Amino acid sequence: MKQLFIVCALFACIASFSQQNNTIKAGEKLVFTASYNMSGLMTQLAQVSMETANVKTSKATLLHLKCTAATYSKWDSFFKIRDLYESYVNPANLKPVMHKRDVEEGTYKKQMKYTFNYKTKNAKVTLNKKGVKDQISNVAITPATHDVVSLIYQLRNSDLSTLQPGGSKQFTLLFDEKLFPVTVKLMGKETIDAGPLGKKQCYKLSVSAKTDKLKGKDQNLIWLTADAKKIPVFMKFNIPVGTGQLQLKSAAGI
Amino acid sequence: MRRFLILTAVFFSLAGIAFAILPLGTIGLIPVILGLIFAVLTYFKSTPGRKKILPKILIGLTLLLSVVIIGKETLIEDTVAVDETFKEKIEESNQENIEELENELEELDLEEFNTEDLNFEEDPGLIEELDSLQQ
Repeated sequence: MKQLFIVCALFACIASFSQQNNTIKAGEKLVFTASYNMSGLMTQLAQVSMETANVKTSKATLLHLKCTAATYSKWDSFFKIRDLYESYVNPANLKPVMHKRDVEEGTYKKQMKYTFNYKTKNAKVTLNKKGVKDQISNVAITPATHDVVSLIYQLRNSDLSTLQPGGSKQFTLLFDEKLFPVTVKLMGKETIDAGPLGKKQCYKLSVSAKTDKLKGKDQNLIWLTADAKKIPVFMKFNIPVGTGQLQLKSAAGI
Repeated sequence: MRRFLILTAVFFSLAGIAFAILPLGTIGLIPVILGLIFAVLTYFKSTPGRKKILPKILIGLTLLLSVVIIGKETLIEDTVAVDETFKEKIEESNQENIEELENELEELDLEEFNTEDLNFEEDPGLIEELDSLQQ
């Protein structure tokens, strides 16, 4: 599931770095069905939800971006996944302030917290997992560095209309205390079944990164609706442990 | 030959039962169909004088398993169990995060939220900068 999230985030890296947010509003909820290819057949494994909400502190109002992944009940007895990924971002430009990742996959548990400071170009990372408690490290970041969740939303906030088919952009993702340079290429436009949204014309994007978490050339793809909302409706991924896909199941508050 | 076919059909039928119980969806059809094929072959390999009861049972079993697997896939909707522990964890996380943000925002300085400061344009030298940071 960790790989699924990083794939989603890498898919999201097409965005321009920090343009003004005119797309993402609070109160949105997208639900996806995650399927995994087993012996050539797609098997539904988990449900992935992406939600947005406003959070007020005494100093500012932030946008809370929350992604959860949970295995379908039929899988819980065999391999239970309950992942929570969340980011608190500046609603004006989706720059992350804090990112948290709480992973529970079978017996594997891990919590990470990232605090972004763009003035010092530094991210403070706190790690908790089996045998490690509150291990703090610092990672040098660029002004355009995003965490895994905020990147997904930054993608939707990007102006893709200026990108020509075959054209690509390069971006940066902070994940597991490392920076990943990512290249995203616009393959063209396609009309596909967007689940609850009906048939939609979509941007077809290919994602590649300097990481061993993605395999194949143009085998990691995402389709975003070619409209102002740029809703992710379908994703295909090829990772070391196999291939799979995410299909939009429901969309609310868009 | 007949014995081999029977053993193979029994093996795939048993695998089919296991796959039908496990949440593997239509993948369960693979051993079931193989079991059915070998059971049918066994049936036709059996001479009239020999008992055909076992192949018949295996054919019936594999057909039943097919119905069960397809029925499970089409009639039972995949749902996520209501997990109170997970819900509570999310709620607790929300509260904890707000408290932490109060502190973090003080440390980070609210000028960060001046969007002009953060409105970075695409930087063609970003990858070079990134490489230098990683070295």
